Amino acid sequence: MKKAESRMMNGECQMMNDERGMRNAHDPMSRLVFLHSAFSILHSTFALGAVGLLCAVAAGASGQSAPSESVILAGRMVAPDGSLVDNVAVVVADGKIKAVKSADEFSERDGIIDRRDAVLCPGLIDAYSVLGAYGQNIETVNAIDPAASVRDSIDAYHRNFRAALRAGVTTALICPAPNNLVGGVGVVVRPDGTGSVETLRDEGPLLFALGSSAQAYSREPTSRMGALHLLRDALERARDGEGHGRLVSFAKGELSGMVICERAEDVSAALRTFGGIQRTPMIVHTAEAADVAEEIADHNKDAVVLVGPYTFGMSPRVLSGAAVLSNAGVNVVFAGRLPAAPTEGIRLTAALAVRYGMDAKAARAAMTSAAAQAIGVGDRVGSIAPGMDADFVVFSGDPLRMDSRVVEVYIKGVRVPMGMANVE
Amino acid sequence: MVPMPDRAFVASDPRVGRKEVASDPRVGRTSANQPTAGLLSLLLVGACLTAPPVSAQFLQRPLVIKNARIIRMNGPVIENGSVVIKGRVIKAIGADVKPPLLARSVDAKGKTVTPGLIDAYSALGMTSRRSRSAGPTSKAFDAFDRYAIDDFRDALRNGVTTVYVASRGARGITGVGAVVQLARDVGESAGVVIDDDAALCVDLGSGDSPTARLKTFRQVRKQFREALQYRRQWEDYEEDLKEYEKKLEERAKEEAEDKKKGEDKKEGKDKKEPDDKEDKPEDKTTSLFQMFGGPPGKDNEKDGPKDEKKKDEEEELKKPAEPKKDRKKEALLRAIDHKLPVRIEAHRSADILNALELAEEFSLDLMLEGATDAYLMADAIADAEVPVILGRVLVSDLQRRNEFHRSVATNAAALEEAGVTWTVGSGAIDGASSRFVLFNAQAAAAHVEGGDALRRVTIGSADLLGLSRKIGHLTPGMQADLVIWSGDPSDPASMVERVYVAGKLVFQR
Repeated sequence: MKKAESRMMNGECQMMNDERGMRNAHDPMSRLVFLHSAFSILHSTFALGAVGLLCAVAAGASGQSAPSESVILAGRMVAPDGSLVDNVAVVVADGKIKAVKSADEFSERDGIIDRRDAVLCPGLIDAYSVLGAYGQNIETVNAIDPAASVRDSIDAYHRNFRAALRAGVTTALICPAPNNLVGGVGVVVRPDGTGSVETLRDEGPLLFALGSSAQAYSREPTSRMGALHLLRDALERARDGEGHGRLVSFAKGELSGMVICERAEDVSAALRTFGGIQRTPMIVHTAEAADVAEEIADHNKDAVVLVGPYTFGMSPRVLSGAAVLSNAGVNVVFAGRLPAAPTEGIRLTAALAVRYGMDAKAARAAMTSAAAQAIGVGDRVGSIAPGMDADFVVFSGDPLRMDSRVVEVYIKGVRVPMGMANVE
Repeated sequence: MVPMPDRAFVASDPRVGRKEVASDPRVGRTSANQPTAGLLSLLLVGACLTAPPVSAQFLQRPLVIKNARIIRMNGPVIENGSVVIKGRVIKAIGADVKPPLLARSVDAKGKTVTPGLIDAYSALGMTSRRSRSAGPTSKAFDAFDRYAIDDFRDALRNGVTTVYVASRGARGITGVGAVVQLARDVGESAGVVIDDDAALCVDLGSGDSPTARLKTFRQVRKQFREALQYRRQWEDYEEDLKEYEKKLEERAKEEAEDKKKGEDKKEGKDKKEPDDKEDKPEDKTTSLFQMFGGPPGKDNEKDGPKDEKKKDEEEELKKPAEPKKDRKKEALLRAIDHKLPVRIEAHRSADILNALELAEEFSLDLMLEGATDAYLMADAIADAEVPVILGRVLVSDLQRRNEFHRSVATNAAALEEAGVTWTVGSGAIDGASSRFVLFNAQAAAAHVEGGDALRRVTIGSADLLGLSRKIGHLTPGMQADLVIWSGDPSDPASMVERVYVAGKLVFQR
């Protein structure tokens, strides 16, 4: 636990924990050092040009199959604001995006990946998921359990991660089940396509839950009244520095939080209870979002609301709710709930929300950049921009359209091999 | 003559328009020179009394939708053209169509016009519980809730104008499905049935345990076999009846002859005298030959040597018993006679194979519904020339058990490659799912080269449902079911602005 408490920031954290299999297939540190040395050679032999290039290529090739720098040409690209930009070239180096330019600046040459008939999109983000942890993340003994971390329940070898990749989802926030008032922290992970899973954020948002799922007959709270009373009590004590370190951090505004709400009144209660805390929690909500849109917008414009995923059979108020919220200026992000919902659920929710009035740009951003920001990894993933990790998906068309399919997935600039779904 | 109201189930009622005429005692008794005039006037009165006060559509001005991009599904896309609607039908469609006089017009500049979408596998309006007693005579339209207004409106908002709903019950043969249009009917109700005998619904219960599925299939097969037996029973009866009537005739003829002969001779050489009681079998046979002039018929098989001729004759004259009429079996016989297509919901590969076998054994016009595992036997389905109506395409990892455990997104692509005729519905999950049939179709078509989802849910589904002469494409003479979209219908950002069903505006944003 001490280890956990000392890593409070959103910084990069890589687990080298053998038991959980959550490690990098290739030892990242040595690879970075190797490439660094290759580049210094490049620098020093800049005048010689060709020799330097040869060395760089050789250095890259001996470590792995991809060259150290590659260029992908795309007919269209999803920009960080969600709009579609035509004719771009993305330069990738060392697993990161080096530059985004116009495709006209690049002529045909070796090493260019030509996807000019396709759309490049940042890897999709599932902002509320149970990948690899389904059934293992429910711990109902204590209503207030800030010490738990979902990291302990993740099976990194689970085939769900591959299924998610095949649908274009490259990053997910895995959360504890919403069965406790305070359920512990979530963890942001990224499957790397070779069978292991990398942690992008270890001390994810602190998860709160309001609604009937957090109430149990075997322990308190047994009602909404009891739930809010307990929660308020815990938060007040945390503000005074009492209680678990994570709660104290959250109350101080240092650790972000996420509230799972079932109904409109749960959302109102959340806004009231957490209102005093600077760092506004995310609200996860479904069917009654339309009813509370105004309240959220008035109360706290920085709130992020997770909606969905929509599956056929749900009330379409979920979708009109997303539209109303987004148009009122509230940040809307789509929850994928993988693997409990279909893997294409994020794109489907986005497409349907657009049909019900959400702005198409906001919908694309909700799947990518806005989602990454909401879960605290927006400086690393979620957009195609210089400095970001090179996680992107090549779609056959606009990702908002259901008739577009995933053509290729790249994680850190490396193409992920994808087998046929379900016929393995 | 005032036209009849265009409400399907009223128009099909045979009593409409004829009551006054048939029951009027004066009909047919007017003088020879004036029957026509009198009859006509009575018909007119009758028609006027039964028709609504004003058949508004007929008297309405024609409608022109102009400057639109028209995706008509029966020809190339018209980039800038007009559609003329008169009454219920499309009068004209094209790039240079002259609008008729007094036409109302709608400017669809920048907008797209398509045929109304068809959900060929829907549960819209089917809110009642599954009936356990459902059988081949149950009708889907009886379970259709014509007041499920919210669901209808949402379906229209997404461009859906026609749905096929199945009769659902316990497993096996559950009834007859119906094709319903989302047009306003009386008052607030909606849902006009255009075919209430669309297909025989069979559910093989792919989500059940293996023993339950085995039982279901055996039950279905047994019902078809019994239907054939029933037919043979009736055929036997018809033959027996003919024989009996023939013998009656001959008996009557004979008796007439007998009478004549009897008047001439008291004791003739004819061995037909009643006191010839005990006859040797050979004699009897000879006499029978003489009597009937032919080889012994079936009836004589049961005649043993024990019977006297007279008693034989009396027994032979017993009318054959009519078998009990069974409407359920008759419904199945219509399926066997290709008068009613059969839609079998089968997901698992074993159930699909069973369905194909059943179709072959009883030569049914089969359509597979659901067919989650179809890609595993696409060639077999193609060889059997069975069309497939796909349902739910997007399945979560957790749903991958029971009937969906091998669901793949590339199912449609495999069918397309094998040359199977296929379309997509919404999967009949519940009433809400119909509205997203285009999205579901897009998810299915995503992996098909040139997979045109819009085509599948318009003309594709109309063809499969056998309604392509009425709906599914925009051609002069066809029913005017069309949707005006604010942009390309496949783009989720475009909205449905107006929906017309049978020429009437049923939805406007």
